[in-house]
Amino acid sequence: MTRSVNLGLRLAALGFVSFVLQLVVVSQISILGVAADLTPLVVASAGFLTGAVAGSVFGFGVGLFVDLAFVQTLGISSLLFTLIGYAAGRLRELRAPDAPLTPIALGAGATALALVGYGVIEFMLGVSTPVSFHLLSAICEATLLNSLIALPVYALVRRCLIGALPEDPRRRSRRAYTTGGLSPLSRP
Amino acid sequence: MYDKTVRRRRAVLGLLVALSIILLSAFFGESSAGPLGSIQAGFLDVFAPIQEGVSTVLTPVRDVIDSIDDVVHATSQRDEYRRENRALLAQNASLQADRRDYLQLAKLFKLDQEANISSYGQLTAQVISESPNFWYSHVMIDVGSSSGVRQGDVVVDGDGLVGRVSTVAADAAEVTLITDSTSAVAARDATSGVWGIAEPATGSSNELLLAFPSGQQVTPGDLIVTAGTTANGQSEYPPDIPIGRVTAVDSSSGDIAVEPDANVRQLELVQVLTSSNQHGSSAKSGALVPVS
Repeated sequence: MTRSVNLGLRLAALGFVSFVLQLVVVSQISILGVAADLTPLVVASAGFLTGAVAGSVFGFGVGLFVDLAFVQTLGISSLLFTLIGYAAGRLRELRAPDAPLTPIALGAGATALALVGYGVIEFMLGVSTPVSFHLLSAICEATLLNSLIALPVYALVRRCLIGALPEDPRRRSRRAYTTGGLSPLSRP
Repeated sequence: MYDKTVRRRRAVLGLLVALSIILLSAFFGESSAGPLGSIQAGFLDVFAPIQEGVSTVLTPVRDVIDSIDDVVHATSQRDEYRRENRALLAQNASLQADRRDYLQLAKLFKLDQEANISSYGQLTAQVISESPNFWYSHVMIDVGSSSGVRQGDVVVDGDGLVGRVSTVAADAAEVTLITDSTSAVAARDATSGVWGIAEPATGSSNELLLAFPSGQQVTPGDLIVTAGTTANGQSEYPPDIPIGRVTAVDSSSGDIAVEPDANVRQLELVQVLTSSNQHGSSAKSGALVPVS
């Protein structure tokens, strides 16, 4: 089994399990008055670990699953999670941040993008979404809560994918220099 | 190689975004019975049993997490319930006091009707202090001369005769109870109609003795009421106010023990018959009239 197929299977299982957990357990547990949302955290973590292409495909799949299961407007979550997975993957490829708290910032950004983006798209489609202080407060509380659980979620996702992850971009670039490979700067 | 990777990445992103927008447009444009809606419904049909099964399996996990959440909130809930409990206890005490007042007022009203004292001014008063000694001979009430209370006014409660006003201040008055050693009331057996004088029993704080003319028949359980008149004329006390019930008759000594109806140890609300002096003889200033 090639590494990419192995990764695809693991991502599919991860997406299904995380979605079911979200639907059956997490969404029914209210902490500080709001429920956490695992799906943007899992998509962002997977994108950050696997790269932009795999992350965006994974995000599209999870988003489609969410839209189907929650009987929402098809395509909204797919679009948002595609962008989240892609952005997380590009962050890794471009910046390769290694700060231990990076997953927290990643989780907060992904959650905020998912919540605000959903409202904006609904608004653009003509669905009247009442923008109130309560709504903004709920978005902030959900983002804060997801930030708190982002680190363990990232660790779990990394543990699930560890055997099938593509090569670390930092290690790859470091090896290219040490083994005499061409620097990106010297590329024609 | 690098360009190929970039192109591939961008193509995948563009494809997925385009696919999402197509889905969005198609779903938004069609009716609920359209093909995408049917796909959603079919997905639900397939997924619902899975969801139900997983939910059943994970119920203990959810319960454990819920219990942790309950524990976190238990402290604040406990404090809230304690505050609520304190407020309810205070409210309950207030309601019980109100109920007690109501019952006493109802008894006073009944007494007013039965004893035919409607010709008197009736002033309801609160007992604000009791005499500290064992004999319970005096109480203070919260109305005085400014409310029309005068020395010698008769005081009753819902159960019967209590005593008379002995000292009056502007906003308070002292009531000498019928159990005080100086007190004596012209009384009548409501059953047989015989007359006598009710005086406190020596050495007892809650018992009266009746002195009746010899040969008169009085039996235990008889109701003793105020006579309303004396040998010298009209009594200070209106007639037919209950005093107490005969508890024992000593045939050898002729002593008749009477237990007062009014519980002089637990007086709270009383009624002052403010114009009783108009009906009786003069009351000496600062002292009770021994027999009236």
